[in-house]
Amino acid sequence: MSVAVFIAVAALGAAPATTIADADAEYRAGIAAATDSVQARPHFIRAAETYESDWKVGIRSPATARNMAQCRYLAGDLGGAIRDYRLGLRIFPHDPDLRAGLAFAREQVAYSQVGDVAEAARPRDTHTPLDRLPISFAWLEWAAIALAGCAWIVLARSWIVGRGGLALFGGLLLLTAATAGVLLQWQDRRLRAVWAEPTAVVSASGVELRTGNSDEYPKRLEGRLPAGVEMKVLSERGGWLHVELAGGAVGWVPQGRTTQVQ
Amino acid sequence: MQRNAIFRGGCGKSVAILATLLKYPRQTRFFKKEGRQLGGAQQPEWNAGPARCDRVEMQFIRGWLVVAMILSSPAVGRAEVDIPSIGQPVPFYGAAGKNVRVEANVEPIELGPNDFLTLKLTISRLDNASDVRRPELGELDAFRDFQIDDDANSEPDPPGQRVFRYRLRPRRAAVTAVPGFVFPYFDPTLEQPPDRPDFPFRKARTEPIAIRVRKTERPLQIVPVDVPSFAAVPAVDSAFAIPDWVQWLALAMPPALAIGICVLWQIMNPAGARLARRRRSRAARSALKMLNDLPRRASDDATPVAHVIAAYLAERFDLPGLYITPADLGNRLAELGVDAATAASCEEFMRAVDAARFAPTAIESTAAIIRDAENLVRHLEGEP
Repeated sequence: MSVAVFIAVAALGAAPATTIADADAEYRAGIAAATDSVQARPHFIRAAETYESDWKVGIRSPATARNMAQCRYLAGDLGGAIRDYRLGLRIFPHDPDLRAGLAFAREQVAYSQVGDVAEAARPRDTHTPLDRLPISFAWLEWAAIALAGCAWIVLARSWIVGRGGLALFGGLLLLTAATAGVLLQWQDRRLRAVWAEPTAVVSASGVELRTGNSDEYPKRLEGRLPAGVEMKVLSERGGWLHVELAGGAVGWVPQGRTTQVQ
Repeated sequence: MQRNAIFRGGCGKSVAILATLLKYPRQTRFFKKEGRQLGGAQQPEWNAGPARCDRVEMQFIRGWLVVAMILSSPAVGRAEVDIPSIGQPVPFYGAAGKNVRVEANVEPIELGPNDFLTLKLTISRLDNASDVRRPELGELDAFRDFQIDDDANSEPDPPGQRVFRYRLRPRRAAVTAVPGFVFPYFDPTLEQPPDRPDFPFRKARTEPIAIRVRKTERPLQIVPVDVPSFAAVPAVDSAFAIPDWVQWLALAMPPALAIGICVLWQIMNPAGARLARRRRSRAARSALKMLNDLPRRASDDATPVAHVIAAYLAERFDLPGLYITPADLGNRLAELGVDAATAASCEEFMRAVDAARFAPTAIESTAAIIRDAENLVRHLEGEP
């Protein structure tokens, strides 16, 4: 059985699939075989690798990032899935599907009920006031642009007809549009800064946060970090990462048991 | 030194046990002392009674003596061994003897994943076989890979031996041996040096016994992948995905378009442009409106026309005040750098107004003066 699986994986590995279409085909093959995880996972792994290679060569879109992350999740790699969602959000910080996918993946992280790991490591909410609006960020941007366009038309009209009141109205419209644009840009930059932080994600469960870069140092937290915990990378030394958890706890984790968002 | 069995004499031992059970420590101490002094072969002269025991106590002890004599009879006696408590290893099962041996037998040595095997520990060459307690294998780290049950089968132990049976079930298929068992015992023939109190405590050992646990040939369980609804199909980019440069273009287009429209309109409609330019001059707009509202009868006074034009000129050329007098107006305009033709036309108009205002008879109708005033304003605003 295992030999058969190995041969199947080797065969899949031998077939180069370097396009989005091939990756989609692998994805669909995995979904078709989803009744048996042993059969399905090699497809998902292969699809994720193909999406990743496409991403690296510059074929970047929210869908590519989503598919890459979803394939990692379906292949059982929760840490990789969260890393890929964050990778997509670095480029497309306002994409609602990527954010929803990341929220779903974060809910799958199995925090221990014992100790203070959950409190220290659970990611904080990155929502902005704009998220409460029923329209997306892109539509808000277009609304501001449209308002600015209207303002210019009104100003032109006021110049033609020589009406001061119309000019005042146009000026107010332009001011409103400019204010909205500045606010949207500020939010955009803020969110991009959040996603652009150097981040590592625990890829294998049971990682302990220690006070130094060695197994001989005492543990910083009671309990182990499960796969999928996101950490801000502060520095790196001797195969260990100096990290800060979302709750502010700072410590060291072995680099080999994490995957970094790069 | 604490002793398990204290008295060499059988009677003394039994009475001491009874006294201990009945919580008569004084009697216990007494008989201990007597027993040591008199030795096992002699009976203590308890009947005479030591002076320190009162009568009530002695009567009580006398009553229990019959039971004590029965217990101290040779039939129920046992070998007496002093086992010091100092230096005892942990765990210790109370065994004493010289060259005590322990043997382990395991049956079967090949078993299934949930099968039990029987471990038989045979301990021989014991001086106090009946005092030896059953080792609790479940408390030993070496046996933590086994579930341990007591074996219900029991057979009488041969003299000088103890046999313990256990039922063991390996917890994992990776278990390959029943570990060796270490049995500590006390060798009464060895001295107990003060600096090495553990010296007379020896250990008998058994070797590990290899066993083989057959692995279960279970069929691989088929586990489906839990696919979230949003991940059931590959995601595709929206057909309406708009590149970033389009946004910048959309942002730059309206002002450019507005400026273009204005320029085009000015080229296509020069009269309209002039009109608009005049409308943009608030002073001109206001003056024309006021002139338009003035009565135009011949009998009307032309003074309001002079005031309207003076106010317009003051605002238009930023004059420090109203100049109705033609000479003052002309001089003031010249001081401000207004071109000579414009200053002259203004001065000329004001002279005409003065003539109309102060002439004994009307030389020109007010309507004509108002029309001239409007023409002056339009001329100053650049209209032909």
